[in-house]
Amino acid sequence: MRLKEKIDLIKEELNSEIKPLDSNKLLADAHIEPVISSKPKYKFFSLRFQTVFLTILVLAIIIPFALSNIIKKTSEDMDQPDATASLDDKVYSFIATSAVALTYSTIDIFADDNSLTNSESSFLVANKLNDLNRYLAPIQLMLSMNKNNYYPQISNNDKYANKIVYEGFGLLNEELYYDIYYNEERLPFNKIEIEALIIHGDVSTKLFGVVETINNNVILKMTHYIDENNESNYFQIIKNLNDNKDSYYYMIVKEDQVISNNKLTLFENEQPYAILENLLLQTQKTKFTIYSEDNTTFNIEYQIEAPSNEYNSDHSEGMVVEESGNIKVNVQEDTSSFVVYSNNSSKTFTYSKPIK
Amino acid sequence: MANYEDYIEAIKQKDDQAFEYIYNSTKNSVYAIIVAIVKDKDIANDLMQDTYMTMIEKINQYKRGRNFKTWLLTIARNKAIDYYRKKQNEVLIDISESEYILPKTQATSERNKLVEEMLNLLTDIERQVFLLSIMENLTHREISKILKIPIGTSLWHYQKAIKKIKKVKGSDEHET
Repeated sequence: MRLKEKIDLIKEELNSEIKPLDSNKLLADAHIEPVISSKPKYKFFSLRFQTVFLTILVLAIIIPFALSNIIKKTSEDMDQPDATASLDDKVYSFIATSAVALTYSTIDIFADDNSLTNSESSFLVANKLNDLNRYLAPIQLMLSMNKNNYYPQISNNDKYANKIVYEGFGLLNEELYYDIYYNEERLPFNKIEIEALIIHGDVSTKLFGVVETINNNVILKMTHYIDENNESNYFQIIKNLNDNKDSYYYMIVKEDQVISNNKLTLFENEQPYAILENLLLQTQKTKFTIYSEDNTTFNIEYQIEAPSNEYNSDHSEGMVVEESGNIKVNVQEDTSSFVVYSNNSSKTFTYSKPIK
Repeated sequence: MANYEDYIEAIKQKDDQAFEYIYNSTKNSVYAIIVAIVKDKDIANDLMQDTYMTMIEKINQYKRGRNFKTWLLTIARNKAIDYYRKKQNEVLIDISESEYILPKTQATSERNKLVEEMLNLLTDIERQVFLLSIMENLTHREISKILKIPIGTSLWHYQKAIKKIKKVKGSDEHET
């Protein structure tokens, strides 16, 4: 049998399976929803998070339906006819892909490898570059996310009910392909537990998540344990689903001690592209404002603040700028080179760091 | 590409003829995308009815000038995926059973068995791309929009599907 005959056979057989539809009954039963007055145009992200925010308000009343309702609501949101991938798919995709990136970029921390942490520079920011370096990979992933695809698929893993595929190309034109599998289990007190498995090449990364209401905020926490038998070493990605901003909190814990705690805020199609703030040290605040010059170059403004005992009109919280400047980061295939210009010094320094 | 705009306006008035026109010109691809996902013809028919019901009820949300068929097929695909997800939450599916495009009891004729054999060779995504392409000659640009995949990926899955279908021996070849 020739190919054309086979295709014709499939068409005929499937067409013959279609049962006639009682169009009169369908039209009689259908309640056409009224015209919705035109909404102001938001950027993609704003609209999505607006939807979630409104959804969450509804969920505060009908909370037991929680996350699965968000999926349903967004997947049938006909105002965005192309929205096959629900918001949850996007949140899961970003968390999953950035978790995989972090498994690489935190290797030095959990392997007690201090070789990257020392810098010969006298710049204060020099000691912060490791932390910045860790988040460049997730930021890059987010940059490429606009160009790539993530879509729900039927799970082919019988341990997981849901699957999202994330595929495309990274900024360095490397092929990206992630299979994200997850289960959601509803528990009493409006809590949902999530178990996720991310397959990226030969690497499998497990994430354990929970969605719970804390102080009227719906919080999603996803945790990756470096060793599943040891709950003292892990990193955690936290998202406040009520937050209208696209902000993610990253906490790295080693031997039960928080050693890194950062907030990453992303702005889609805007400049600055991202802001990374160190939340760990109350005595010294670091803020990186990240602009993407092109796909492989970031321009970063940085500012390090420390508490001041003197009144400072510019910094009402009693913080004073200790050092500020610019960093130009060029991301290569295996390394990223940092050129730092401090406003406090005429010197510059350059060094390269591995990036995954 | 068919121009549905006038018919859409008429559907808002619940015009039966307009609905019939749209139904007849889209039913094959709507059925194809649903059955490619749920792999059961009875459920596919039920979800098809749900899809057209939702299409009528949400017709005011369709924005003039957009690709109507892509909009409708996105509804159909979401219905099928929602169904599949719910079903997986209810019971653990027997994977070997779910691989069949049709329940075994329904696959009676030789022709039917051959179709089943061919479609079972395809992965989920290959089946969706392949059926959308053959049932109504949708372009890979349209398929890529519906399935949220790059055009090249759609083409790639289609070519893989064709290769697999080619390898299946037809009924006459079985006989010889």
